[in-house]
Amino acid sequence: MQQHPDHRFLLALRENDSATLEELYRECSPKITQWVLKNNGTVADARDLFQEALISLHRSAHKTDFQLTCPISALLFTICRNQWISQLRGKKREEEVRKVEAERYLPEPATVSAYERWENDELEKQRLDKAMAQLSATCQKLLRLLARGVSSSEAAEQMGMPNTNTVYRRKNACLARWRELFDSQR
Amino acid sequence: MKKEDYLDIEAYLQGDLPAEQRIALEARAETDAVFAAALAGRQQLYDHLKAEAGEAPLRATLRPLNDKYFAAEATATVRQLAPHRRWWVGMAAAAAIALAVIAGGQFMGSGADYEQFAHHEPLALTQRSDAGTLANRAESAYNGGQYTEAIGLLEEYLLDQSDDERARLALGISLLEEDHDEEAIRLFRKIVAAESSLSPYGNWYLALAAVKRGDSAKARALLDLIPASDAYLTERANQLRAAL
Repeated sequence: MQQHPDHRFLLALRENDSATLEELYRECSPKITQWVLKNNGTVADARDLFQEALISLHRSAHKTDFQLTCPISALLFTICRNQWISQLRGKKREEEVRKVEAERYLPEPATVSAYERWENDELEKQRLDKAMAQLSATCQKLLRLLARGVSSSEAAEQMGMPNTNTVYRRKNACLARWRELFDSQR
Repeated sequence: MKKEDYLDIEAYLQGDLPAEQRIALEARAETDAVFAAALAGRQQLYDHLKAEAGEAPLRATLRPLNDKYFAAEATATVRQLAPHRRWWVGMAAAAAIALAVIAGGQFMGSGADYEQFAHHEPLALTQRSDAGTLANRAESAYNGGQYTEAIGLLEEYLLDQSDDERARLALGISLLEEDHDEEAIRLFRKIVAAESSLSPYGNWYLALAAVKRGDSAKARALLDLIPASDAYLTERANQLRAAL
């Protein structure tokens, strides 16, 4: 499928580009707020849903092969809507859930497919987090330091390792272990 | 796959591989399925780490946008706390009693109030000699009730000290105080999941967040998770349970 012009918003999430993100807020936040208010939520609920949807899309945006193939407003709305239904269910507010679900809502096929991809990314993220939490504290710290762009020599100093070769070796061992733990969850 | 292959992949993903080797590696991935699978596997971990590293700065960017574009109700419901909570709570309690008397008791029996139980212990991340360091500034902002400032400083501190659960708890509390409830809840859950000595505090603050959001049933369930071995928290939990 072809990349949608809104893919630029995903890049903005990845690059932390506040001006483009403000454009996204201006475009999408009123509809989300209006919908959440209409469905027994508050502005604070809308804000939380919207922010968490953006954070989760930010994770997808870091995936090398991820392409947005539908309007971002449609995808954000679908994520927020489904998350809100899930929260209502969690609070055992079934009557409100029925009302929300009774309302006619048929996203375009491209949005449905983007949403399904997002759901898969979320599940993958949970499994990666779970596997990472099982790594040693040293591994977790080293991997996070390097991911932040700290150089291998600086990482060696901070972690009390003799040289950059040790950093490479440890990093490789940590990643191999992480992969093993991740694969074993399947 | 040899160990050296993985080291090459790492160097490639870090962007450390010289152009010639980079091209050679990409060409190999085109023809060698095992190597391509290994590269994709590592790329997946690498992408995840990059996203994780970018999350805190992104949240910092989104916060003012949230305040700007979701401001209508926030202005009405924001419950900014003064730095010296204890006297503030005392004044609030006195005002509440006065109001109840004036209104003929119509506000009585409204259940537990978040403000009433949100007494946070001071944070101590540093030694006396550490004045001026990031940890010291974070600690001062938090202990002084300057939660907006504390959030930024604690996030920065945690980038380097990701295993400091006290700082994570303080960040969660600061976020809760500034009405960033979802972010706060996410951190408290992380603290509970870490099963450290601070895990009961994670449940305590999850219960307080539920009280703040008016979900008494959830708060009760979370209070039940606080172990009796923690006498201090158990006492606070009992008081809160009685008020719910």
